[in-house]
Amino acid sequence: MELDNMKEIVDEFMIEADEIIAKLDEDMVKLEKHSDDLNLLNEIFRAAHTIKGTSGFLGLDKVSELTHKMEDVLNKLRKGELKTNPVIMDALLEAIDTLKLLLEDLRTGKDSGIDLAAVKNQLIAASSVGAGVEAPETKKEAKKNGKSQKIETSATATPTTPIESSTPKTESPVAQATPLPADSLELGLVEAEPAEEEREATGETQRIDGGTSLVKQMAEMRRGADQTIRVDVGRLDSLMNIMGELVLGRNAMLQLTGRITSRYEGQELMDDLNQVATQLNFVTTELQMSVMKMRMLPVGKVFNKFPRVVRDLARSQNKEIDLFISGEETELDKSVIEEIGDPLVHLIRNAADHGIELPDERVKAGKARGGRIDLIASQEGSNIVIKVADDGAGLDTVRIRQKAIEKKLASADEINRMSDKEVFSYIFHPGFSTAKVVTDVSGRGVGMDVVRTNIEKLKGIIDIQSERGKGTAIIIKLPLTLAIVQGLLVEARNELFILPLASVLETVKIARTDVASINRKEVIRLRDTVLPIVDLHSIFFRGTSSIDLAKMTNSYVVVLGLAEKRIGLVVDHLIGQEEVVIKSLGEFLGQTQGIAGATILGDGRVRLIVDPAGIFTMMV
Amino acid sequence: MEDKNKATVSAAKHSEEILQLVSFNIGTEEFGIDILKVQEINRMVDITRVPRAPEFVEGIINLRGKVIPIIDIRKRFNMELADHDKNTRIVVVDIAGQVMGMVVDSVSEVLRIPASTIEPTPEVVSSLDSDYIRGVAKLEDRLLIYLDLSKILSGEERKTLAQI
Repeated sequence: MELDNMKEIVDEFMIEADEIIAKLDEDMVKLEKHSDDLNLLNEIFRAAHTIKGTSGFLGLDKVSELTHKMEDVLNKLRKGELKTNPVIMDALLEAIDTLKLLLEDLRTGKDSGIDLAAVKNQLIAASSVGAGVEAPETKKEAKKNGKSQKIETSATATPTTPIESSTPKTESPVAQATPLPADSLELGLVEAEPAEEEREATGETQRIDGGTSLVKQMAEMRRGADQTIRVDVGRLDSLMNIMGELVLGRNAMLQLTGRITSRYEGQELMDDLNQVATQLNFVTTELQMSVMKMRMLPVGKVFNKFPRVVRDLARSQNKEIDLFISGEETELDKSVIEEIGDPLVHLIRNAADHGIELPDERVKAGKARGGRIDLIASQEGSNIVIKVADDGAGLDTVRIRQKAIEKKLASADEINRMSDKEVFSYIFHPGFSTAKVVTDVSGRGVGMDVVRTNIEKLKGIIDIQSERGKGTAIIIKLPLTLAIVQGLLVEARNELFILPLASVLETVKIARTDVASINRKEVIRLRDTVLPIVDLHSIFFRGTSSIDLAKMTNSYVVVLGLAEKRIGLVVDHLIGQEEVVIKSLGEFLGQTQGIAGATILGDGRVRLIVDPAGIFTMMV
Repeated sequence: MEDKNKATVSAAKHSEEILQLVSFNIGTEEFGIDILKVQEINRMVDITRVPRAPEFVEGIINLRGKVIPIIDIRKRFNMELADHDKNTRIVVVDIAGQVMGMVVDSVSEVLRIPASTIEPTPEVVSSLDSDYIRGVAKLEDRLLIYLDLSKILSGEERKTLAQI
């Protein structure tokens, strides 16, 4: 087999294995709760078995060796010789973690000298627990160790590259190593020979039990692979760019059609033109959705790892926590998915670590022993909303106030006058933590800062709801995609600006009497909060005075949100909404603060798109 | 002064060379720029102001779907400002990979002149800083200032522009 070809297969395996392992993580945690679910067990067993089979065939000795050991334990569980218990689960999860490291090594091409002995011993110890009732760290391993060494040596004998010639060779080590020798053999054959239909048939008859045959699995995988294509992200990006141009063209055409129609009203040709324009508009929108969808991934891809995170945390802190995930099929742009993982980890850790109380405390407070964390994703218009909610202790506003005063973030007087909601936002302050003890999980005041930074990067909005004793919910609102955005057109002193609608929380009409002044800064009262306001035009064009109260008879305030921060922008008119494509101003003017870029509107004119993040930094 | 003399010497070496220049007018002066740097010449369009941009940047325009910055040469050269009229043109140029437009009063013609007609800049030739000037071309009845486009924005100004 060609070396290139081999690399391709290994790459394919890595991607496959990543997916399987992510699923394994999730299933394991499920298994802990439903230890008698045989289907689940079988599924886990098959997953481990698939990795073992393929890695063995590819000559990835360490991987196959480890998965083989896992299989031993899983097999015992499956046959009922063992019952799941935390020790076994820890060992299996540890093995999965090691597997991840091994794959990482494979990916980077480095060998960080991962030692399998410890993990293997853990697995062996765990699997022998079931025999005796006690957890014996006995030296029963001695015999097993011998066996595993044998596997090791025989496995290393497996040639790494020449597959076609390997049929007999693969057979021998695999036969020693696994109780289902034909599997790996078949795998080699299916890969190497064209007559796979026939092989598949014989392969199936050979196996009476032993779950789904690997051959069948491989065949399924292949069939699956035929229906998806892995495409270079760069190509999708350029498709997206062209799409952007098309959207701009469509906008221009619609505007032009409108003008022509109003001039030549009633002429027959106009109906035709309108029909074509409508059709084109419709198709463009469809096309845009399809192109955007191509870049979308289900958010479940990120959510998958959280059951494990919660499980480990709960176990290490002796808490009882259930994680409920919903809306994992909600789709998000790939670039957003990549950035959202870290902040969510921090939020979930916080919920488990700070939010949920110890079981005894919960009982004392009249709650169920086990805490609950909800992770919910949903779509709201062109935004995705992700909510992390716990039913724990809630934020301690008294303590946050104390800390804020201690850290001199504002005067005691100011802080005491703030509403609870305003006080919550201090938790995003870097280095701010109300935790009395710094654990290895949290308490350094870094996590929420990470959350804020990443959400800001994504032009998202964070909202905190918390009630003492009842729990905390953190709600993140993110734009679906970053390239084509819904824009709100506003006019400020005869200049048109576009505000990204994803950052706009609401618009309020104000009269001059609504405006108050605190420390020579204008503010308005918006329900229970005090909102600082600033004139949009004066932010950008020096020389114009700040808010001209006398003229503010019929102005609007656009409430802009970025992560946890809010600000009101005073504008003269709200013009409307338009889909805009962000174009950079070029390296030349590209860094202009407060300006995200420009776009070309339907009338062909260039308009500036306001960058909410820039506005907030300018206001500090 | 020494440097300029050197420049002349090297210009003389290429005396057989024929230069193709696009010439345009600002106020009473006529300028020429290398035709290879010119992408196109457009009529005046609406220019969108960019806040906090340097003073000589008029704003940005839509060039067939691309957004490019526009520089007002009059402001750049500290010349008296004038209103735009029907002769006002935007000369789109490529300066070191950066496409931008220059607002000029009018564009007159494309000239083919031998490089030898270009002479070093006299001490006081115009109201503008002589750094931007490569030389002066003596035409039959008039003088033409040959501009060095790459110096229209000095390195430092580019840096400031990039930092804004």
